[in-house]
Amino acid sequence: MSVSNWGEYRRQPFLAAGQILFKTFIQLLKAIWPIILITVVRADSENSMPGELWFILIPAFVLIKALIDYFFFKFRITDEEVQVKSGVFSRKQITLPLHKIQTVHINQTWIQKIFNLSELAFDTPGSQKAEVTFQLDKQDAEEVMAFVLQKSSVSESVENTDDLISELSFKDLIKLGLTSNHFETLLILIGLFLSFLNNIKDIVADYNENLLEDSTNKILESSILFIAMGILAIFILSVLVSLIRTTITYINFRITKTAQGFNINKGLINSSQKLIPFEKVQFLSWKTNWLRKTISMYLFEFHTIGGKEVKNNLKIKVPVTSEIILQKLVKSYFPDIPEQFDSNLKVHPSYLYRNILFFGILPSLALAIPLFLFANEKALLLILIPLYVSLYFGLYSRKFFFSWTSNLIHIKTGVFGNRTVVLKWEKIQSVKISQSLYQQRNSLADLIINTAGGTITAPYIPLEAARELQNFALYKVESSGECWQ
Amino acid sequence: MLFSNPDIDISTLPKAEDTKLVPVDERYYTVVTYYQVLYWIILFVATLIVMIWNEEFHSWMMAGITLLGFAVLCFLSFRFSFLNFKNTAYAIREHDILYQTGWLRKSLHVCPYNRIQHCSVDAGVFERNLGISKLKIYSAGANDSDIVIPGLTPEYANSMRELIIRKNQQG
Repeated sequence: MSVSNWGEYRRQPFLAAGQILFKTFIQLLKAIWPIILITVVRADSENSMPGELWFILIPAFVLIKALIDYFFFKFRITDEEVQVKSGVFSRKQITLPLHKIQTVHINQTWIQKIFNLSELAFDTPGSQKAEVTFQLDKQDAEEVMAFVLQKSSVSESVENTDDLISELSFKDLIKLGLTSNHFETLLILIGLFLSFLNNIKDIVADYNENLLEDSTNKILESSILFIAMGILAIFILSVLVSLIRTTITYINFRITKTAQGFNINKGLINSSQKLIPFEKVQFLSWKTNWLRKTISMYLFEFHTIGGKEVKNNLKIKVPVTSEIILQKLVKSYFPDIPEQFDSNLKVHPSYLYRNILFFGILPSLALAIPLFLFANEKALLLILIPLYVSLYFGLYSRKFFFSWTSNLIHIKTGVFGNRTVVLKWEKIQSVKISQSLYQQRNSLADLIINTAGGTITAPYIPLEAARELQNFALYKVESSGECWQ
Repeated sequence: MLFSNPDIDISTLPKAEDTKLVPVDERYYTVVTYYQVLYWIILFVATLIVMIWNEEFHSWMMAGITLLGFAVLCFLSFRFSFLNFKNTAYAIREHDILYQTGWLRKSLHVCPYNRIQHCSVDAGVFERNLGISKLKIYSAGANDSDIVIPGLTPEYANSMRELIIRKNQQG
């Protein structure tokens, strides 16, 4: 790509104004829809704004804001950096050196698809969300992406041959949907339902305050068959919603390996394309649950800069449908991972007992005793808390396995599923040994490893081992000339 | 030779835990005490207001229990901050910086110079009056991976900052 085309400040394609208009409208609507509903519903009462006025005010505001956003947003791309100017009243200028860019994403919502536009987003270290985003024609966006990646990666550009690693078939999608976390979907559904109720409460005048309580009582009074059917219906709904969620997210999923990094395409309604340079990957992890494990399905993640704070849609997750693909992805980060490790650590048994005591027995006693004395015998149900806590920490301490070689750290962990983490020593940012009073007395310690992609903790390991690992990590980081970025 | 990967004898590596740590300046404890006193005065006034307004506290026993509880918490808080202060220390090595802190939960944090993004020297109101400042060291690690060393004289903190920047550029 010739840079001279992009060296001068320019606006986004004019069609982008349409997309900005739509986005502003949706954002505004999300923020104020209860107010509009109140006004429209109660338009007949006196002293309130007539409902029709909203139909003039909102479009006018949206149009003005979108036009300002469009006309005062300019960008340019030079050989060294991407520059963006925006804002009217407070002018903002962002300069992003190309070599600092960690990953590049191309996203396309359905409305952008209509206009053949794409949104380019650049990630840099230290920012929690994409720092610079702008829209371009789809072809231009791809060109810019390739150019920026060529400049940002240290490797000399080699012949650009795309090597297909994995594609998801329709069957894979169904498998992925059916084996996903339905409990999480259920929680999302409950959250949506409650927030909807909350919004409705302010609007509907004769809203029954005790609606939830009344309906709960009615349900409790009804027959067991009815309750069982209800639970089954909720379960089926959760499975259906999970299936739809995964299909929308992962349809058309395709991951290829290029000279610069991995290229990931996905999505139907809102499509996205991401390019991750190899050297920007901080560590890898993959997880599976017992159901997925039986059909060799994993959710693989490249951890780049930002850790937990990174917005979910910028995370780089790859559904993997076979062991072979998993091995291919892992080998791109580290070519030779041994099957067995000579050096292993497990968490000390006291980790389990102390967590059961502090997170299970003590809180449940503190809650159950006063409730039992002042309320009724249902408080005894709180005894279930220690049981759950025991199960949780029991599984965690049984599965936790910290192994290492002189080149990498390999951690197996998980509670109800299994998660594996692979980290190169050179990617460590800092190491901390932390000890509670109990750990100090018993020569135990938590080893906390900070990387730019997140924190990894090895709890309750022998102090001697923690110290040796800390010293070894420092030796590897300080003696290696390898850049962590 | 393009690549070498010799076996490392871990016992020969320099030990972070054997490094002699330098305690932070006594004036830092004065700053901590100022903040504690301010915090407990505000809390005491709030407790008094609640006790005056709430009739349940208008008996010698209730008032006594509340004030006794308050005094115990206040004492513990001052004691903990003293023990924390006693455990706060740092050390500068050739390739990294060490910071130890905490009593209830003691930690030793080590950050190599070649992973430091930037550092700054700051001072709050009390610190400025007492002539000390703190050195903040930022790495690219997530969450609480940054190190803040309090209780340094401004000159010393600035020279440390320059040293870190110099080391960082060399690395």
